[in-house]
Amino acid sequence: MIWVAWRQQRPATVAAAILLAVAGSVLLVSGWQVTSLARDSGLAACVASGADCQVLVEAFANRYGPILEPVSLLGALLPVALGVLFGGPLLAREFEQGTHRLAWTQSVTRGRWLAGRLAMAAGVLVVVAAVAAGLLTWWWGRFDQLHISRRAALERGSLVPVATAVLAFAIATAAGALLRRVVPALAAGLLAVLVVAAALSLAAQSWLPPQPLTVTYPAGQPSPRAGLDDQVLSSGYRDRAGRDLSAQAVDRLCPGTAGQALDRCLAANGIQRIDRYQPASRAWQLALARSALYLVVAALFLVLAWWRTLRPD
Amino acid sequence: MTAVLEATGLGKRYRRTWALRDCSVAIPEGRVVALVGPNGAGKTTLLQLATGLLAPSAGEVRVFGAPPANRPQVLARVGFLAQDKPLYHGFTVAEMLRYGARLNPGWDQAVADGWLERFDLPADRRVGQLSGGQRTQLAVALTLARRPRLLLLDEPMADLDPLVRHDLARLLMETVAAEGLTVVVSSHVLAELASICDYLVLLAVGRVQLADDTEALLAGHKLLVGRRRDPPTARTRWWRPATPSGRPPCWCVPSARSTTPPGRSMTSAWSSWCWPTCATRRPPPCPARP
Repeated sequence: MIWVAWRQQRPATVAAAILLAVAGSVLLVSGWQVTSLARDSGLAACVASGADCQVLVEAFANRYGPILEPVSLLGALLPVALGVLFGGPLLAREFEQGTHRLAWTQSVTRGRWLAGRLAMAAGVLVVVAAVAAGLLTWWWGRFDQLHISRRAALERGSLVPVATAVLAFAIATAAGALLRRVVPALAAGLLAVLVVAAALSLAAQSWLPPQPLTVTYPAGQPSPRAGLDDQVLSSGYRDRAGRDLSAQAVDRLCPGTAGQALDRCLAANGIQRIDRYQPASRAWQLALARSALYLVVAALFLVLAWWRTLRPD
Repeated sequence: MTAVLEATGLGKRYRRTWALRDCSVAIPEGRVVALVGPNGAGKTTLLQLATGLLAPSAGEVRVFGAPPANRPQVLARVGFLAQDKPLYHGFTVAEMLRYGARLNPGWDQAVADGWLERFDLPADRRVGQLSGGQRTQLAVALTLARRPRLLLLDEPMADLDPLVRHDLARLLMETVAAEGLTVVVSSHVLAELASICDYLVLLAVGRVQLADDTEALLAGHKLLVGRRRDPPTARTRWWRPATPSGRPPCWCVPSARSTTPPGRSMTSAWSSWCWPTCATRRPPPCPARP
């Protein structure tokens, strides 16, 4: 069964390797460029010395700011793409080409066959997704060193991307088991993954432990936690009586002001800022909790695929 | 006489239509059974129910005394060749055989190699590059190398040329005779099975019309072949042969194209076989003469 599962997984693995090689070479080349530019422009030395490097940072951000967004998107989509690539055709291709009739009339039971296929595909996927996540973390690390982004600390290595890939794999596999056609399974799988992942991401932020901390400080002043690599989830205003103020209320209070004028106005009214944040020290805890949530939901989808496949027509 | 495959009141419904209905048949061990019927008669459904690929909507089917679905002891003893000869197109011929070897503890590589040699199949060729006939040959090798005790073949000859068809039938029969296994072969053309089968199950419109020893059937049913003296007119119905044994009457259709009555067209599949019991309810339509 191991050889069979591997042989059937080989085409998807080759495709994933090509995808990874293309994405990886783009990341590696641009990552090295970032490092060398930072060194040549003196930004790296400036950051290392701990001085104020505002001008250098801005010059650097002008050059590399525009590509941060697309790469951030690539980072989010790569595990999803890998998962769907592995899961979509896994069952759908068997049904589409009728080879399930061959596989299910050999001497192994359907359950063993499915367990073997799923285990092999998930195993290879975890390795491939870990490599992809490692590459992305390394790439973000180039910017983190220069204090331009705070990505790597929060993504915490490969954990969340790998869990995302497994979730995408489970959803696409279930789509394949239900739809029994490769292309519809890929399309529906991708769509479902995006919806489910977005919903889970929101759910994780709002109710998954550990709950965010809050800090209040006078409006117009820097946060006491500035520079501590916190992940700020939301920030709002609060008045003297401790009531939350909406953006419109702040606007009414200080109409037509912006920047320092707004800060002065807010300070004069005794308005406080309140930030909800997760401290950087919790990054591992957060990554673990979120990964666990993803894996539990993935298991539910795999149970659905299992049930649909083992039930005779 | 033990029944290798036994169906009792077996039925399969797809949404609202019954593909197979109230099918009761017992196939004795060691026989070569022809499962014959026109397209859509339920042959494939019956075979897939027997392999456990489909679950019955009514009744039950037992293979080697147990329901077939997901039972290793049944799976290992049943060889099934599906109608579309499913194979992995990305695999080479050798990989396809390795697939069989890995999934079947009873695999006999010598048997597989023997068939490959007989058919002259190149081991390093990709399945996708094989012709339809070669794929059938590979699928047959894959099925037989598992050394099944019950062989279910769903229209195995459909895409083979007459020469290979004849060859395959002969080789198949040699194996069957040597190993004493039970074979069920489905076809919509009885002619291609007539020489090899010794038991006949006739399916039509989702029901078993007839199931018995071929010899008994031939003795009890009169098969008329030939041309009527007086050509049918608009008012005459197709004739009914005498049934002295009290068995259901058999409506017979002239066999060769040359003997087809004027104005009447039969599908070639049916021209060589007679339409038995159902004809009592539904005689073949008569031609309208100009």
